[in-house]
Amino acid sequence: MTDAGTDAPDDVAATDYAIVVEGLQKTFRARRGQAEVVAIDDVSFVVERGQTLGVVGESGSGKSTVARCLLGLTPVDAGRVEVLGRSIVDAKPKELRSWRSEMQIVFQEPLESLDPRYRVRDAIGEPLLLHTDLRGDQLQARVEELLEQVSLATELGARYPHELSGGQQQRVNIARALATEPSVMVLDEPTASLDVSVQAEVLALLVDLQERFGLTYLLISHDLTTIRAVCDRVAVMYLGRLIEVGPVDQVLTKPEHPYTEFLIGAELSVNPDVKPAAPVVQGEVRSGERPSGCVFAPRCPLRMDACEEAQPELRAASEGHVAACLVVGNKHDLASVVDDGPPPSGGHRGIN
Amino acid sequence: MSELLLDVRGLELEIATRRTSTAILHGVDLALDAGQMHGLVGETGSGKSMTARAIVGLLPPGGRVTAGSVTFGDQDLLAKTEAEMREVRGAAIGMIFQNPRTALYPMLNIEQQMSNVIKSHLDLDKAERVARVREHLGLVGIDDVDRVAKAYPHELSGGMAQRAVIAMALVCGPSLLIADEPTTGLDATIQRQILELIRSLQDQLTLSVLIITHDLGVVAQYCDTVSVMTEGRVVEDGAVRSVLLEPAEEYTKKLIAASDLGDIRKKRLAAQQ
Repeated sequence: MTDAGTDAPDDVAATDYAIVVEGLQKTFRARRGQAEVVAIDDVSFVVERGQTLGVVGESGSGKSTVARCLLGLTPVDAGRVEVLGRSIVDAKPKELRSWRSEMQIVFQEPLESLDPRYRVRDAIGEPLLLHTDLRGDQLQARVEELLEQVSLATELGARYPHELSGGQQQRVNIARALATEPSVMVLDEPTASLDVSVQAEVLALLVDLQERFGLTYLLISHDLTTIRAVCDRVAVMYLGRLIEVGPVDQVLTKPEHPYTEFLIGAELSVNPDVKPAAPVVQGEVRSGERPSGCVFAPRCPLRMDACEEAQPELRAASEGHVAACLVVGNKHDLASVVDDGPPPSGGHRGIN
Repeated sequence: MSELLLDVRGLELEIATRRTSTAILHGVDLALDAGQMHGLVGETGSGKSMTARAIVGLLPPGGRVTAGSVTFGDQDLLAKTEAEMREVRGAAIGMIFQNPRTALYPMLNIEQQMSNVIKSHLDLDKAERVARVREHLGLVGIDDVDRVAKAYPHELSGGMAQRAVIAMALVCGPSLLIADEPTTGLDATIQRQILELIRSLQDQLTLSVLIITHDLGVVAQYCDTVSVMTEGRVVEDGAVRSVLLEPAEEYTKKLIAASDLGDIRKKRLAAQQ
């Protein structure tokens, strides 16, 4: 990757970034001699302090691995990962543990993230015991304050996780994450397993907390509606590659990469008069053998010979908006190149 | 002319445990015209899946319909015995469920399990069964019919497995397809492929579809009519455009706003000004 990697405008000083990721590389190997799975391939992005970057992608895109690498939960193979100016890659385990009070994570499954034997107040108190000097009444006062901040009644402090609804459980996880007054929060599909109405409430809470505490968010999601509602910028991933990054308003209204366009087309509006913006993309994400050129080429209706020769680099489309595609800047019309007949499985040959 | 294919009236259902019994459905009405795609939408615990299960007589242990009627064509489904319902399920009514992998038996290849379904409903010899399996795998947009027919479920991708499940549901030529969250858990682009497939099959096979979903987007883009359920009741139903563009009930309005997330976005943008 070249200098197209960090997509930030030049006038922002480096200290304004809460997160800097450059040339991140991660390959998993089940056992010696077995096939490798490239989870992240040369990914670079930055997140400004107080902002939200959404990372969107489908299964196998590597979005959750990015989140884990960011917090040092998964060691990286190569690349630079800095959170709040500290290198996560070079950190010793002890350093990582002490930094963790400033960078927290909320996962998808609210119940799985909570110890079933801990009452809510003890679950929220645990990070305070680890990272602060608060004890006794002071600690309980802080726990109550946190419950209030996530709009949970004080009485719920005495409950066990299984006695709470999914939305309440996720609020407890958010309170736990907030307990140590972090500056950065990674949100890995925080509302994906919640009901629609609860999802909206939890997202509204996250937006409020960000405003109140100046938090920086990295939000991992498969759902563009969520990304559109809460993110400033969005990074689109496909098979471990970052294929498009930019301001939400740019990327989701004027996508440059055909995959982004298809992803937007797959977002189903609740307004029956707002029809999908793009035709249906054929095929499925292929795991296993990686294409030598563009990762999306096997499914791309705009594919040219050059696409299969080398990975396209990120090219600038507009300010702060880049995409890894040879058609960047050229007008194209997906609808005219995609058949609108009955949907075959198309480019997907055989069994995945 | 529209003709009523499925008519559910005043359906009440309770589930008994050892000590208590809990009412799950409180008088559900649902009408599906032939050739239509009807969405039954609701959140967790609304009773939408239980309604579907009651229609096909697949209630969980302790489940019992206490009132109401289910009329399918000219048949009273609630009056049928379990053996008679087995005849209906998989033949006149095809069903698909959320997780395609659990709907498939892991020890048999796709052709074997589809063939078993045919065997239990239709009087066809082996060659005819094989031909019918191949025909239906082609129908659901599988290019490489030979390989998929001989594949075991774990060898298929999620989208491919769901196509195979749909082929299996349709292999005996049902007039009604009940799809319970058929695309939940699939990637967004695959979700749209499967929904487009169901829509095109509906036209080709003059199929009626009852789709159970939590996703109002699916209803808005693919269904003709909709019933909105919450707490064991249908609170609003009708043509999709009228229900979603001019909702009468508070619950429907709330669900639409929550699905759209437009309020959060507006609030964020206002705060940034």
